[in-house]
Amino acid sequence: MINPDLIMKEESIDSVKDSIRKWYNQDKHHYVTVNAIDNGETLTLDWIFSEYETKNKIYVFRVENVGYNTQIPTMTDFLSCAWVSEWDLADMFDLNIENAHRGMFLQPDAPKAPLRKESYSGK
Amino acid sequence: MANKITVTFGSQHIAIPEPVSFVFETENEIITKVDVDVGYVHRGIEQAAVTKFKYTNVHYLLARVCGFCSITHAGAYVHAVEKLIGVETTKKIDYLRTLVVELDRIHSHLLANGHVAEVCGYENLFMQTVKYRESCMKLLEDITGNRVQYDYYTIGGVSRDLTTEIEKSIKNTLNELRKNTIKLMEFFETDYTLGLKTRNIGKITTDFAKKMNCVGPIARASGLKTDARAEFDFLPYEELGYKTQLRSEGDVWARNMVRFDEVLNSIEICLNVVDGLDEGDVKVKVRGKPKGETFIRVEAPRGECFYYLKGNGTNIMERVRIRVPTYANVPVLRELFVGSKYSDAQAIVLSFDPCLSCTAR
Repeated sequence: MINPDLIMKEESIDSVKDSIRKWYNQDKHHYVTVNAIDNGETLTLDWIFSEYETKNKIYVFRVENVGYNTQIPTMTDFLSCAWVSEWDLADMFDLNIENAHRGMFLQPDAPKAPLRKESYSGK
Repeated sequence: MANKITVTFGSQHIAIPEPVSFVFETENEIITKVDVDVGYVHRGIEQAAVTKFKYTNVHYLLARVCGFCSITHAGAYVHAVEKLIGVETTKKIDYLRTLVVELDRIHSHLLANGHVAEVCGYENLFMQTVKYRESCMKLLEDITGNRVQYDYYTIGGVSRDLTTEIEKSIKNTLNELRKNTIKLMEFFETDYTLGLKTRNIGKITTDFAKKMNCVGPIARASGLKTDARAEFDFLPYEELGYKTQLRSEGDVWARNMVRFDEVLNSIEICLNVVDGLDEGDVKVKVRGKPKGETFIRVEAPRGECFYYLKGNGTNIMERVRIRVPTYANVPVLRELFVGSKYSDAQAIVLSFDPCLSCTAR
């Protein structure tokens, strides 16, 4: 059975960008993705990293209770590859992510925000 | 005066049997700007995984994320569910899973390299590669009962055991495939014209690979040592002879050669599996329902595949998040085009072995 060595850091939406920027070391850390979990009326956001040549290490910068309309900061100023995961979340959850373009993952005639709970739970 | 032309590549293009669209702005046939669109085949799989299927069946759905790495998706999900339920599998189950995962890598890598040969004008080399690959597909069919969607992983085990005949066939086929792979490698290594189309084309330095967080053979061909098989204990790779394959050139050629190196290493792993198989059952009992959350990394043929799972103790998962390797390599691919000749675009794209079906999910 896999036992990830999980290091979870709780952040606020205002502090998360600075915290990641200060912590992130390009030679050591590998950016995996940003993930959103819909809790009903708010979201949990996770910025997920691993470490090169280190066993089972997963770092998560977690922000709880993010509103659907909250402005979410982009990490692309120091993580230039992060745009693809940010644009993905913007499409899938209809989130307000700084500088994110819409329509790369969903065509214009696709249902909006398919991963929001309200889009499939009928609430 | 610069001759500026905008050229669209896809969404239907002869070089890629999957829908992706690149819009290249070129000046005198040098690409100066790229726009990319990958969302033609969004199938709502993440949503379906938390609405339409019991957790015991979700891996059959997830295997359909991709035809080439179906085993990786099913595997990542099953490993995650086993972690949430607390299932301990046996050595035999882990070995059988490793066998199919590595056979899948072999056929995927051979096809990827064949495709690069094809877009470089070597159709016969493509056919030869696919002919060799076919022996691996046949093995997979014999082992799992299916050629593409293996559905071999089950929660707590695998769907079927090996027979003595299949064990013998694995050894014979893989020994033959090793010889044929070395032949192909020699051709890629020495052919002058193929070298002109692949060497020093689409070059990624180690620093740039780190900056763009590349994964899989793309990263390893640029000297970036990262592989979920070494960095995450999802299967017993260390004891089965896994070695990280690295090249430093970072070009189209190096990406092909890393794949060949990995095919040879995967053959060794598979042969070690067959030699080290125990007697015993291929399933363990599973009780309980997934509760809590877990983060899983596995190595698909194209690179690191990441899964996040959240269970709430019911039959339906709360959240299934998939981050596939092509998705992680799209940013570097976009950057890489800029400054390249338009005539090299096909070889560059194919050297990434892109899977848009995975990316759009």
